[in-house]
Amino acid sequence: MGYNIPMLVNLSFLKPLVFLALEKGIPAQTLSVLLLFPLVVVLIAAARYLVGIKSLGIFTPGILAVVFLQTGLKFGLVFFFLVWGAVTAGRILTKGFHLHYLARMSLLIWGVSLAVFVSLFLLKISLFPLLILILLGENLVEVQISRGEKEAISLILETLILALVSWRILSWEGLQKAALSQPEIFVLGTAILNIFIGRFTGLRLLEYKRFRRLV
Amino acid sequence: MTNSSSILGINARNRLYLIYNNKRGRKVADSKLLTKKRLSKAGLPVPKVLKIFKTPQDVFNFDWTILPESFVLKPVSGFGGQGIIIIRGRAKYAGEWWTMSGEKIDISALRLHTLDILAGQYSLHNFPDWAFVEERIKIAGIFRKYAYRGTPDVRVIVFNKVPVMAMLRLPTKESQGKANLHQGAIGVGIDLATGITNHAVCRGKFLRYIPGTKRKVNGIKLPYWNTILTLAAKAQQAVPQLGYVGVDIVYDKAHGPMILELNARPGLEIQNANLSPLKRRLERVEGLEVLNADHGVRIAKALFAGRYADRVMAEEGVKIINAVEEVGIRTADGKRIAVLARVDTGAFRSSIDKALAKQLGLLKKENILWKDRFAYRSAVGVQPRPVIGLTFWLAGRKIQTSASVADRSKMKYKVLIGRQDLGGFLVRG
Repeated sequence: MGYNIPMLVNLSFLKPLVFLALEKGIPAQTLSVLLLFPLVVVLIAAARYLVGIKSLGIFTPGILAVVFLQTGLKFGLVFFFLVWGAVTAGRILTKGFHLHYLARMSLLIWGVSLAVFVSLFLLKISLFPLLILILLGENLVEVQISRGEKEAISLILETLILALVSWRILSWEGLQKAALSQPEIFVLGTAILNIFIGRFTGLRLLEYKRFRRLV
Repeated sequence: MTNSSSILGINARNRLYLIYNNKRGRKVADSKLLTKKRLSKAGLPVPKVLKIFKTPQDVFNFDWTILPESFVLKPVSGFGGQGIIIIRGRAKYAGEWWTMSGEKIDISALRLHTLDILAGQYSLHNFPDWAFVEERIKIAGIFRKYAYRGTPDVRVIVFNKVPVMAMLRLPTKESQGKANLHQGAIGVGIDLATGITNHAVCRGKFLRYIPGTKRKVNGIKLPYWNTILTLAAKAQQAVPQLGYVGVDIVYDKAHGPMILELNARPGLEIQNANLSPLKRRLERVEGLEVLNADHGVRIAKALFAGRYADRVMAEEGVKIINAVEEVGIRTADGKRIAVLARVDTGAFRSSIDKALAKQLGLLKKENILWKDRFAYRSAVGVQPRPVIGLTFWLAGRKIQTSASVADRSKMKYKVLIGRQDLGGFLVRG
């Protein structure tokens, strides 16, 4: 390898790092999740700007997918609906109290914490997914209080759908292997995809339906 | 004629047009108080502010009973009509009022709501906010029959000093007196040239009648239309940092049109209300040299006159029609049947499909003027055709004429209007 062919060096700038990390004993799954996460978030961005699926930000569905990966899909869904149920019940119960906004929010998160605590008897999970679930509680409270009921439900369901798609990608073995063997393609590809999505000014897929009478 | 690239989607709005609104402009629009300040400085009419709450102390120290019979409590940086309480009148006991949505509310509830506003419950990103009390607009007579309680307003989108699209927003029961489409209000499109309403949409559904009434949504002539357009254009001129802005204008019974607020990210449903795409209009206005608000209004009227402008044009003797128009054809027994007709300036005489003519009873002996007498040169060669008497209505005009009968069964339009019957019309390409 000479100094006059930097392209070749550049093209495999990540692979040695991946090997090094594996050698140091970092689990392959951690690495593949790390490498696939940009793909997951770019897909969430695409869902927003190309399709028109809104979600609770970009972080919530992505991180929820990681939680699903840790707890397994079945328990992940149980936890998700548990948190949602706790938040909804809490919101309805505190409706008549006329509480200050932050106090009410705090009380609802109190409920979420209790619900998650009870669920610990179902499955032992580590601190990280636990915190994420409580954080999710805050997101759900916020959307339920600030938006209308219908809008909140559709937003939450859309978030869940995106989380499921993301989970599928993260847990896809073939893709994990591909990401580990060709990390550059994933890293550069998602960056380019992001720029394309970010510059897109056409109609979103769902807008074709919204404006169907105009076309 | 229209295609998807002439529709303004969220992506295009955000990336191509909201860049005309800089940070300072957005700050003005996002604060209803700053908006008022700027607009009244420019001499534009705005509803009066009765009280501003900046701290919880203000809320507790305020004597609520000095407020007038009706008023509106709003967050300064609210969005989408959230957090607004409209007070309709005093209830039986002092310190109790009726809200627009028909609930009784007392001082302590008002206080709590105000404190919620200050805590940021209704502001963008839940940042701490101020609240204020504003005089309530007294609904002007013409709208009383259209709106469910609340105050209807007119949303005008102004770009480069030119009003590009407008709609009337009618509060409904679902929207609880608020004029925001997101909350369930009705959006009624308005022809820019005449101020006459055309179509309507509510929660994505297209309406022909105002729900619960037998009033058609189209054909309402809005009063002070010129003033409204000029106010909207002037509002944008007063805040030039907002290049693309939605101006909300209300009609006050006593004071006439007033500017309620500015919106730095006006919604896109206005396109459905007008059944007309916005992006092409914006492209036509972008970069135009517009001298002032009046000039902008004149440009708007010239560029964006819709079909309803025809009524005005008719007084000057010219009507604009499209290449395909719906015509009403009088049947043998005097009924009027709507048919889509092709307007063809290349043909001399109008013609009608044989089967359709028969179906409408127009092929009776006494209606046939000439039977197979004329040989017509047409795209398919020389053919003999019968000629019948025909009466139809085109764009509101009654036309009595003769038409040839042809086999148009394979054509898309069963009726063709020739240039003999197009005197006084301009055909849009």
